[in-house]
Amino acid sequence: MEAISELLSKLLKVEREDLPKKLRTYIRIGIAISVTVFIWNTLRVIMDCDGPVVVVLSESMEPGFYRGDILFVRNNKDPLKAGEIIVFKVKHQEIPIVHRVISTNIDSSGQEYILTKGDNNLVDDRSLYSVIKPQLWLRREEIEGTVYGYIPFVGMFTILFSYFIFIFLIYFDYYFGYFLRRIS
Amino acid sequence: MHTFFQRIHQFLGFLLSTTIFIIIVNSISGLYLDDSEPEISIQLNKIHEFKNNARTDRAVIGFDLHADFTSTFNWNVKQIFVFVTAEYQPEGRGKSEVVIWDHIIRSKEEAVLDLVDQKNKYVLVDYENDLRGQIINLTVNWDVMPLNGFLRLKKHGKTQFTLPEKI
Amino acid sequence: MDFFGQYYAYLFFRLIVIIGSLLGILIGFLIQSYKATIYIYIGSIFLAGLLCSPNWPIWNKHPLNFKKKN
Repeated sequence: MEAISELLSKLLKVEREDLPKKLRTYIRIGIAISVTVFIWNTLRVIMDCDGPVVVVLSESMEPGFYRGDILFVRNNKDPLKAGEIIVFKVKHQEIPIVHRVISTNIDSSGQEYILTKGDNNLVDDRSLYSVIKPQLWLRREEIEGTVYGYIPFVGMFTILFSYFIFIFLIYFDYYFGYFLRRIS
Repeated sequence: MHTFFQRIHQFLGFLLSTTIFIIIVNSISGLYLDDSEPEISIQLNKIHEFKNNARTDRAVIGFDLHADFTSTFNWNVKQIFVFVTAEYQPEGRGKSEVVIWDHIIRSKEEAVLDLVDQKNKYVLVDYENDLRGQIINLTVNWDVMPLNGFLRLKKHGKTQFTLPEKI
Repeated sequence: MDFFGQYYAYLFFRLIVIIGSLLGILIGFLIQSYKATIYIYIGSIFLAGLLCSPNWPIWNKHPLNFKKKN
């Protein structure tokens, strides 16, 4: 134990007496980060979904969902019904698309074929599905989940952060330093 | 905490908690205020066209719809998305649903729908070729989209008709 | 502000905002209009902010008596 605390105090450049305080600071930061990651992953397990909370990024569902609204997403094993709002990702894009199911078909082997359309769009999403080869229907595996909850314009902050990330980093640095001084 | 900006910062933190409380009250009350059954009646008026364009069968139909959604509006409702689906199940396949018409109701004033011989907005087409002689159920569904809280998808009102055997 | 004034200012801000939000929820639920809730809530925020943020003289009624320099 003596050797370990000697090594740690040399690494962190503190005196032996100040070591517990410094370690307590780092452990508290670690706990805060771990709890956040834990809560996010628990939500991912309960909702059976990769992104249990998403922000609406396009205007294709107006006047229902505007840009910057937050949607709660979950997945269940039942076949999709027409009229549900689903979140899916086209293969090469990172942006999740939130649209409504307007047609479902189930063929003889139980495989589902889905067609979607945004409320504000005039045509359905067929042209979005074909990335490498032509694809007329969306399959169940490409769907991230169905929307069950909604909160208006709170997600605007995340969109603003991506635009003004410089200002966000300054603000964050000020608060992070203040936070470190408070908990140490 | 002495300066003006420090005070504003403290106040904003408190306002966040209060806003979350209002949002939670609104969303939970929306779940419990939601047990009204609006009066809906739908029936088929006539089949306008039923043809095959050398690939798929397509149908254009007209339906009558009378609905009164004023009792569904409460303080939690932002809009109601009404849509009519055609459901059918060909042999050897699972159930198929196609949305043929939709409409957005944004307030209590526009909540009464009175349509006669409304043509379908989206074409009634099958992904294989199975629409001939098919028994089709027209149902009226609506999605209550809230201001805060949970989305609710409901259905009511049904009618059944059969498409002709020959095109 | 001085210390007593600061304490009362924080107290009044929280009191006005809590009363405003509860009143807004009640009235909004009775009329079934969320707009009413939001208007009453934001109105109470502005009222409380106007009263409690700047350095009004009512928040300076208990000044600190520093010793005069010799």
